Amino acid sequence: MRLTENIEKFIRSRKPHTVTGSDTDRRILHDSFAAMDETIHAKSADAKPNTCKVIVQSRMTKIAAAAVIVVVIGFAVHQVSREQTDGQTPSEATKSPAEMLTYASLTVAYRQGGFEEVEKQCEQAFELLGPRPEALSPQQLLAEFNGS
Amino acid sequence: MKVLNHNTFVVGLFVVLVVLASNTLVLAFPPDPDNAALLYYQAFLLRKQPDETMKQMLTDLSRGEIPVDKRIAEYVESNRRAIDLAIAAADMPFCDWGLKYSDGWSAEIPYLWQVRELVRLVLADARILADRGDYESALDRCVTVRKLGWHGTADTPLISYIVALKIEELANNCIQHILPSTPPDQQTVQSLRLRLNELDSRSIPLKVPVHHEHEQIARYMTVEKVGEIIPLLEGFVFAEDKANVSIARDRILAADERFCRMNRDYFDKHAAAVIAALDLPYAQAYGKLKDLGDSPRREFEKNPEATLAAVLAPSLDNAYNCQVHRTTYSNALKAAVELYIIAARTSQLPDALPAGLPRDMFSGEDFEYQKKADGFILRCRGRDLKEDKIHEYEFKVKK
Repeated sequence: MRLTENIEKFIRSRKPHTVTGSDTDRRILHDSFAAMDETIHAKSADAKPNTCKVIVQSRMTKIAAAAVIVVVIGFAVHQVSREQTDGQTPSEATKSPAEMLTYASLTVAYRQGGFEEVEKQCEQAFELLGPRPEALSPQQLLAEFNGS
Repeated sequence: MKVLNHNTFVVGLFVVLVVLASNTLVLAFPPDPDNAALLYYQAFLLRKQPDETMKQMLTDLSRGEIPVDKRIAEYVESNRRAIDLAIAAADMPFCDWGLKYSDGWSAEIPYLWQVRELVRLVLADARILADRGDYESALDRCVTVRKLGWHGTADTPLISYIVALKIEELANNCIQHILPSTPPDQQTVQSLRLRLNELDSRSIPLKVPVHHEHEQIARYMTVEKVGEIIPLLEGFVFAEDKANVSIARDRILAADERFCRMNRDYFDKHAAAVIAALDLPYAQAYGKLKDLGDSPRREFEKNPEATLAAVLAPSLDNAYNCQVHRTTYSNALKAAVELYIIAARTSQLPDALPAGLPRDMFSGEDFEYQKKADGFILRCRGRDLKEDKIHEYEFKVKK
């Protein structure tokens, strides 16, 4: 059995109210071509250069957008950390070792966390001061004084 | 004419003597410094900076938590000059760290931590000496540490006093651990008794730093200086309370002569009450200080006169408790030394505590004495109200 006859038989059995024939075939074919023409026309209209699309798809635009995101995130982080620092006590905020070892700073540390907090603060201050040389010979001292 | 010649001769002789005396002064060999702080500063400079591992090992050894190790012994030996300077300095009666008082709260106290580091080194040396069997020198080192701690408070800020109390505890702990290993000879223990008794003249009552702290606070209660308190608001009392910081800041910014005077009057009364409370027996004093510490903060919102006291006045119940605890520990040690001397003399511990020994400061009474097979316990009769416990000190005795 041929494919056309099979299709006609299938339609007649499943859709008895549908009338098949050469007129119907012609109409379907006409509709199909009309739909095809419409699709081809739409595609060719889309293919025209779009300024917005060009800008969006540009590499420079992508880099600029990434830069803006980075700047915004950085600004947000900075603001959050600034707010946190504003809310901190003097002993918690970043200070120089000298400031960490003042009468006031050590008193604040003691009042807030007892002796352990004083110990912690002093440790931090001396860590910030950095390691000292284990020994200094007279030659090294002379070199220091002579600026060499 | 004769009189004139005589006067000229006397004046000339006087000039010659002055010149000779000044030359002698210049030529005289200069004496050692009489200020212990100068030697301590040299010791700080000569102390080798330990790395993190060594720092931890030193801490552990000074607390007796690890045995003596060859590496620690070498490190301590490499700091011998710093230790010798610390020992020499600790024996000197006078110590002035040169704290710049005129800077008020901004004055730096960098030596405080250096003292603590030096203490660690000397205590490690004490443990090493004890390990080698030189108990007398080891105990001497512990006494040196106690002196060093009290020198640390020579400039009397309250914070230095607290550090000195902590140092005293570390030194006492070291003595308590070395004593049982000491052979039962009277000489070593009697020498320790003598040196511990010497320390009595060095210790400073809590009233001294408290009075110093009060003077320091009062200096800021003037129109000129009151604004300098603003950066301290959060750290000093109101860390958790932004609303109170805001109220205090507004009041301080609007402060005039009257505000400062009224606040000063309020503070003076508060300070006098604190000083008076320190003379009360322990339980009453602790309760009173706790109440006094809270009262300016309780009144703060409704009474602007309490503003500066609420911000600046320290709550002293903790410092007081710490001081009573440390003094009790030191007294227990002195009482124990008497018992060790009796044990060395009679080859046995007494059945009861001899009369007249240093007391438990929590109760103001003698320690409770409990004899054991391998030593004895000295137990406090009064409760530590802050830690809510009865302290006891155990001492082993070498047979």
